[in-house]
Amino acid sequence: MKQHKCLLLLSLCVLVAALMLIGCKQSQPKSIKIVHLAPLTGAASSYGVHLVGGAKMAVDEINSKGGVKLPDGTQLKIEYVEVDETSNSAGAIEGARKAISLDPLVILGPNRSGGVLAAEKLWKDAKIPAITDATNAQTTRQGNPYTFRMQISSEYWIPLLVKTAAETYHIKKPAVIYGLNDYSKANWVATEPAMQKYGLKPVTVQTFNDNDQDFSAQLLAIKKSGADSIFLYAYTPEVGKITRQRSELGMKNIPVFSERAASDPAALNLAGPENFDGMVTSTTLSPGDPNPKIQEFIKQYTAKYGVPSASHLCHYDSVYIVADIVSRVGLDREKIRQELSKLDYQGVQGHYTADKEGNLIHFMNTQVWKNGQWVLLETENYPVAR
Amino acid sequence: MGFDTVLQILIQGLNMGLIYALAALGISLIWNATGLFNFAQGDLLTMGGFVMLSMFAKWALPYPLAFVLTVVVMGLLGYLLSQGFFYPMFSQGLHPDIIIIGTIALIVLVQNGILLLWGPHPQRFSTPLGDHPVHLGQIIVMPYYLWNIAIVVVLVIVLQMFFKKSMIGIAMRAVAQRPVAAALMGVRTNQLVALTFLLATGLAAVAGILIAPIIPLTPEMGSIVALKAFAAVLIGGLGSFAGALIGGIVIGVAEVVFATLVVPTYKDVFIFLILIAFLLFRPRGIFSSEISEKV
Repeated sequence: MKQHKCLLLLSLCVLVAALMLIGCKQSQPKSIKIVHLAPLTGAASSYGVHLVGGAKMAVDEINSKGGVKLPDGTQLKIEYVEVDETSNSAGAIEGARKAISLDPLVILGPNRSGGVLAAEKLWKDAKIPAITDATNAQTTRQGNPYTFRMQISSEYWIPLLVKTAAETYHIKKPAVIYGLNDYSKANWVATEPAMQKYGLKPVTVQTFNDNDQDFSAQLLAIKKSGADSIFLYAYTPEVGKITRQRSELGMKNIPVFSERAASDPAALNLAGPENFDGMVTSTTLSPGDPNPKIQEFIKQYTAKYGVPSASHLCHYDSVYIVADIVSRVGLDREKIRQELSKLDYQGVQGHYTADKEGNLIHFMNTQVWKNGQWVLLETENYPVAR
Repeated sequence: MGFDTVLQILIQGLNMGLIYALAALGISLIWNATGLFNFAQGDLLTMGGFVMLSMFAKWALPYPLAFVLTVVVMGLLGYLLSQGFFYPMFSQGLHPDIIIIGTIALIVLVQNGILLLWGPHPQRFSTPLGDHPVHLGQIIVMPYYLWNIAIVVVLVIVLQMFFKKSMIGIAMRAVAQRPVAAALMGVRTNQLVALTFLLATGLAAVAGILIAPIIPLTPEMGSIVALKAFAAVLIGGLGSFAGALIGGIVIGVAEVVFATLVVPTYKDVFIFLILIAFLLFRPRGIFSSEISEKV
């Protein structure tokens, strides 16, 4: 009996020691895990391809050079994991839960404003920094120190677009049509004050629901209003459909001013090249930018993944930013968050500076689709509120 | 609002109505032959559009050949579905509600199949008729509107005659109404079920081919169209092909008129209020099929 008790005690000690050893082994990460919440299915899936492509390109480049060297001299590769946020808020919440369960160092995304607003509390509670790319200004105003934005808010997308429309195209009677979602509504909210600066007022404002297939009612109302321009805020499928249907209803001569969704090649394909000529968009990255670094980047991306949606390649620089921070501070999430909050980094697509809300981009361009390519129109840089 | 604008609105409504009518015809066909709703009909329509995209836009087959091949491929798929999916359920005497749940499961399979084969991005193709609008005075018409009208009218006439006049069509209706009695009378139920689904998926293919130039193809497209197609079937009258056509047009026109005169945001609410009104006050629809029952 005594022998049995001793054996049992010894077995328990061995078991505990083994568990502790396993625990120790598991606490030493073998990689720098970045989980990317991207819309791989659903209406925004055409963005997802480019969001993931840009990030993957950076991951492959870094890993091909052996990975990231940590302050202690260890070299670790980046483990990049995609998680589908399914282009809707419910999917973003489930995606965020899954992403957090994978125990990443940093999360990239979500892409959609509705998704960020729905899921941001999850990574806040998990204390994982998330570098999002939605444009609704409210996404970085929720008091969440773990949310960063690798985009610029719609408060900037629209003023430069309106400025281009007023000063370059001399529009006088704008019409606005926007989708009833957080992304498009935010663009509309930014439009009125931007137009007021030029003494402009929309002659008509039309709305539609996501997944609507026919926009003839709205477009006929715009035609009836005598508008000389259309400001279109929507996701890519609707941008394509509306741009096409406007031509079908005899309004091809009315220029369309839109934002990042229109820079997606899928919008061009859906609208048809003959209906897309003259489309003006605001964008953070323009393939029409003559900067040699940007041209080289676009060339490399196109060779690897095909024609890009330039406004959706922001996470190429996100990955390099994370790699740079990790090489300086190591794998501590809180230190990474602190470094992101005071970011000052020159990337391929531009210079990134963190403001007090966690916004990292403070530049904007407008471009026009002419003769089968994007041509850069204007660029603006904005002050950073630290 | 000028007469030209009113006419333009009606033309746009007719265009959307034909889309719903095309989807509704397939639903009515299966109802006529099996007494069931196939909730995956919209997704089979989408698959037909994608098959045509591959054949015509990607492999550059001539349009008529691609059209015929798409219908044949989808018809074969319908045959396989009938033998591997639907007939086993019929032959076991499963409750119709369970078979309907089976069609909902089929939605998930078909949508994910489309996702796997063609990816998630919206795609479209142009017809040989081109995408340049035709101006008739102040009215603007796309060339494929007339082509779609012609095809739908021909389909309605052919289907009506098939089910009312042909031996096979009558046998299909007999199987739908009294499968046991039909079998006792020598009707080969499994062959007719196979033929039904072959025809229905072929019809879905035609619908998908005609709709794709108008509505971009996405894996979810069929579900969006099918919901209104079901409403068209119920408003037009269960079992009636003319009813499916009229029901589709009613929904298409009502949708555009409401969006123009009231507010676009709630047009779907308006459509389904019309459906509810029909269900409450004229549940048999505009053209109801009379099925006599000997007591």
